[in-house]
Amino acid sequence: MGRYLLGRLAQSVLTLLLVSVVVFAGVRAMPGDPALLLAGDDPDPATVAGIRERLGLDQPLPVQYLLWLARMARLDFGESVRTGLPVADTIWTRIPVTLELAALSLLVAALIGIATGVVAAVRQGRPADWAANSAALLGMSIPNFWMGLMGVLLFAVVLGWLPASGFVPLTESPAGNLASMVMPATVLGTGLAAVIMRQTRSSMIEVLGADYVRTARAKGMPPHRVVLVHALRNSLITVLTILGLQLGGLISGAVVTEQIFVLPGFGRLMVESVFTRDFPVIQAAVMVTAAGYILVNLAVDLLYSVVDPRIRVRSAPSGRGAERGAR
Amino acid sequence: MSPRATRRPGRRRNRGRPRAGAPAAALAVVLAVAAATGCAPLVDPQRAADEERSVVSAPVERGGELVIGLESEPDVLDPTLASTLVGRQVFAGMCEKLYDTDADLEVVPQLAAELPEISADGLTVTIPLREGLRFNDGTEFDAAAVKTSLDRHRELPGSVRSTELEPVERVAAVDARTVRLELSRPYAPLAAVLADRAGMILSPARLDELGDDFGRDPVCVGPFRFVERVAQDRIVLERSDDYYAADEVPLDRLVYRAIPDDTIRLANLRSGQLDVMTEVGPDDVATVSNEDGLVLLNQPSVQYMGISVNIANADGVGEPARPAEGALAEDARLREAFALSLDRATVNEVVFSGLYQPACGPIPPSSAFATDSTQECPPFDPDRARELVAQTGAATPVPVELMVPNDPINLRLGQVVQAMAAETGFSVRLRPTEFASSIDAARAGDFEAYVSGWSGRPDPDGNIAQFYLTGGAQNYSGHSTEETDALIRAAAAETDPERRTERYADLVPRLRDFNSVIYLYRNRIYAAHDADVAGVTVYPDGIVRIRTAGYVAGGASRGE
Amino acid sequence: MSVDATGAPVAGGPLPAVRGRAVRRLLRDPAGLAGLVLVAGFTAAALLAPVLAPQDPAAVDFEQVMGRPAPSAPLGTDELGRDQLSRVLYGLRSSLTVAALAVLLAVVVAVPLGLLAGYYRRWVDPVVSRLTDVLLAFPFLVLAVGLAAILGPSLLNAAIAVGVAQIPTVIRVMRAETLRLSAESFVDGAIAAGAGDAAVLARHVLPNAANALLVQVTVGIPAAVIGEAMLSFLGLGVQPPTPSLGVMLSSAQPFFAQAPWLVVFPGLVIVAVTLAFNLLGDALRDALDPKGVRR
Repeated sequence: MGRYLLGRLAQSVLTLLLVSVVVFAGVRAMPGDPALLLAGDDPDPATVAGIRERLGLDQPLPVQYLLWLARMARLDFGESVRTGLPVADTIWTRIPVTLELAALSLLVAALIGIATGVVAAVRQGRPADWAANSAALLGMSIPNFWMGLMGVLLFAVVLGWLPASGFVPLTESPAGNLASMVMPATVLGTGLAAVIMRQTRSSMIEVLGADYVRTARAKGMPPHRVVLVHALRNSLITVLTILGLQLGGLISGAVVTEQIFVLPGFGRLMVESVFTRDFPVIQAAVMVTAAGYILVNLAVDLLYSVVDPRIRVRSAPSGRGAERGAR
Repeated sequence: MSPRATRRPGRRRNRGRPRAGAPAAALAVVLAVAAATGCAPLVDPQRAADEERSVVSAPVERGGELVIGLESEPDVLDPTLASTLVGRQVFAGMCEKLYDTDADLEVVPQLAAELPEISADGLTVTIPLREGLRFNDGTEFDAAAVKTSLDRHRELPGSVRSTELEPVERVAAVDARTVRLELSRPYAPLAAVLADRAGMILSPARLDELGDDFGRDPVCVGPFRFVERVAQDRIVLERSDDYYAADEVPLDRLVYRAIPDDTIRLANLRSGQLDVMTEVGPDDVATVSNEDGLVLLNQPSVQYMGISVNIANADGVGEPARPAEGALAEDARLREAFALSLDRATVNEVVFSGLYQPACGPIPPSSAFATDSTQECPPFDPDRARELVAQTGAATPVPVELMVPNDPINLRLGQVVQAMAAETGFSVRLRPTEFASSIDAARAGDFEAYVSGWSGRPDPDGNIAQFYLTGGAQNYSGHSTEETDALIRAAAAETDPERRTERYADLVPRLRDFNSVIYLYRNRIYAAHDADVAGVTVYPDGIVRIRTAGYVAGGASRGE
Repeated sequence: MSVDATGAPVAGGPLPAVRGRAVRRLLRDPAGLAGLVLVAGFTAAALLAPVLAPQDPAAVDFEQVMGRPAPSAPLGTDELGRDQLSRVLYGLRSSLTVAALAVLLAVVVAVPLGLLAGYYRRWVDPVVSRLTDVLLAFPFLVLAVGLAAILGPSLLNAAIAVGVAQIPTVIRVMRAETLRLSAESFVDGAIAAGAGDAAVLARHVLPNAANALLVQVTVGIPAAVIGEAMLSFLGLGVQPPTPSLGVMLSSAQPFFAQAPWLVVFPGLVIVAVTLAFNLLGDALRDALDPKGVRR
């Protein structure tokens, strides 16, 4: 286990290094010069050259890359090209919003997905199963940004129950904060709920047919307890699996959801900084996301073996993903 | 965080709407309006555009906090390095300038005691300073401080001010209250330049302390002092006790928040999260004018949008002129035909709900230098356009590639232009490009025609020189003739206002005939604030002035 | 994103018999049949857009701006007075084009990589696995936004961005299939009979992995349709005046309270197309599963 962990950590560091090369090169491959954008009103060549010098963009690319890497190793992300403020501050003010959105939508997804999944499995082949399956299929097919627009149209414009958009910080008004998050979290959670429902259903069907469950039943354990006990453990595994697999999708979804509901989150920061060519912010944001993605997947794999001892952690490279998703 | 604690409680939120539902109400009203009237706006756009209002005056009480919603995140708060229009909104609260522009775009003294005195040869400019002023850190404001700041604006690597101060060769502090500038050539726009960020004077003590990081904690002379900036969230200013007219400043605190989406910014204003907002979008003007609790401020602006045609910028801005490829570059008659194809009134109607103004030249109608000759507009004349196209013998449809920044408004504009030009024999292919990339392409000369705008300057030279001079920084079309170069320089050097007006009356029609820039429309400035606030002032430069703003004494005012 | 991206590996076997049975099973499954018919219908509508569209989708009419649905324009007119029905048809065409190109790109790049990684476990696998890890560490949208910014927004580049984002999933499916098949007796037999690596991969592994790939493609297309719509919604996908379903949503968003029909119809079409492909994908997966158990 220790060796395995060490190996995975080494892999993660290597992956992060590769990501840093890709980001650095990619950012510089974008047309559009941040110095030119900063010179704004008056892009005089001398001015632009001066700005490039001030930002260190006049140095050879390998030097820029190594300097950036060296600073990052000390967790110093540099300053935003646009505002001149430390990138770390910029990112930290945005991350909580996105984390809240992600956590709430996971909650929504888990609640809906597990409940319907269990019901569908227990009532396999009956109308309830059919309805749950159809709903899941539909949930998977609705693009969440369109669902967001429709949600605003219905709940904000027609019914007036929820705010159309805008973000209320938790510190200012917890109720207002929740109200401003209900729709975004539901929208982002729907697709996930569908995936969780399907996984829960299929693993429950498998479990309900397993010998030890039949034994438990034969021994007179009431059916609802059988379902409850096994459903809970399986659901946890399902949610974990999906968290690992769908994290990337969750982040992408958050970008668009934040755009529609104008939440000041991390996803919007990434897109905005691409548009303003704020190199240090893009680079830092992608590195933080990649690190988060890798860490969560590592954690999921470890937790996975804890929650379900029947599954041994595989030592094959990229031992997560396709194989596990196919259970 | 308790900024709200110091704001006036109770009264300002009782417009009979639940707070959380207000943004929804914003949309609901729009929907209801659309349903009730079949999409016809309730406000006659022409009337709304004509009812200019720069301020609502009413007695105000002392104290309170004002939250101002900006259209985007300001860049660095260092007057030497800052380049965005939105940054100027924040500077307006905390950094006064040697000069200011007034409601008629005339230059008036602010930190200077009088207008500059210009020597007969136009090469020496003397500026007398006001006495007894202090920076917001208590440092004394004097000629040495002015010299330090102007030299920094001119010489700091990466200074965005260096071009506009380029004619200044030397700055000298004659005595504590007099500054003398020596110029390399006569330069009439200097006072106007010093009425913008180039005229902002920074505390020398703070400059010593922070150097290049001045923007992290800027100190100037101004009614409010900088308190804090939370990245991507807010900028907070507080009334300064060191300000020379601190008694005349009613408010305690200003908070600036960037909310990029027009509709959302308005929703926040309506729900009470904001007290003032800049840039009410044309689609929202009707909503604001119909709402009892809100006041719409409305001013003509100096901004414009147009189409730059690449004529001789094949190798990039600043490189020697080389004819560009493409039908519009090759034949002046086709450029004229293209310009004649565009019905500016319909553009304004379809894209901006009729709330902006057609524009046909670089000088805004509000300028003191505007004359019949500078404001003349070639008529929309598709027949004449078709005739011109036929004369050239070009095979129709004539292909034109139009580079458009890919935001929704500009894309709509591009598609309207495309449709109009199709009527007269042009086949316009749109090339939607991210804004950042489009500047790159424009500077490299890699385009045929480019939809681009200019935030505008009160002085005409700021709207002409860099677009038409050989090698001008924004001369994307590559237009270059010795004759116009000489005329542009002569007009900028002319310090007698009357003769200068004549020069522009002669110059502008000549420039227009090249059709290197085909002007389309001029924005109007729409800002809005709560009805229980008064004294918020907007001038045609688009800057929201907060110095005299405050909460109306004893209750809400009606803005008339 | 909202689409389950991993196709379940499907057991292979002697091919023709399985396929024949699979087709019959697919046609007997009402959901599968419905999916197949809908997919065929949408594809036909996209191909025949020039014939079916009542009007030129680019013809503006400043007198008919944001008209409600009416007999002359069944789905209303947009902010420039263009016929929405015609634009939806042409939009479907560009959206499906982007999706097809994207999936094609992903398959062309990922299939060889997945095969090699699964077959040469020692040298190729670690390299390819790092590559997939790196690609996966970029959230799809960030990757796509970056690529679109680098390449410039256009239909083709949207397809590239969406396609690149699908590469790691396809690599993984193919790698898993190759791993599984390499252990099968018929592969051992081929090797024993003296077949070279290339021949084994091309003649024995690839054909048997085709089922899994087919399912993956069916799942990949709706994901790409949604991906295109998201990119276009952010202004980085297909560009006006070319209509695509995402472009229509993006340009209608500012008016969506005044003219909801501009947002409702293109969105419904996206949902319907995605649903059709998902139905077909599910049914295919079941039909190709020799155990024949609906899970």
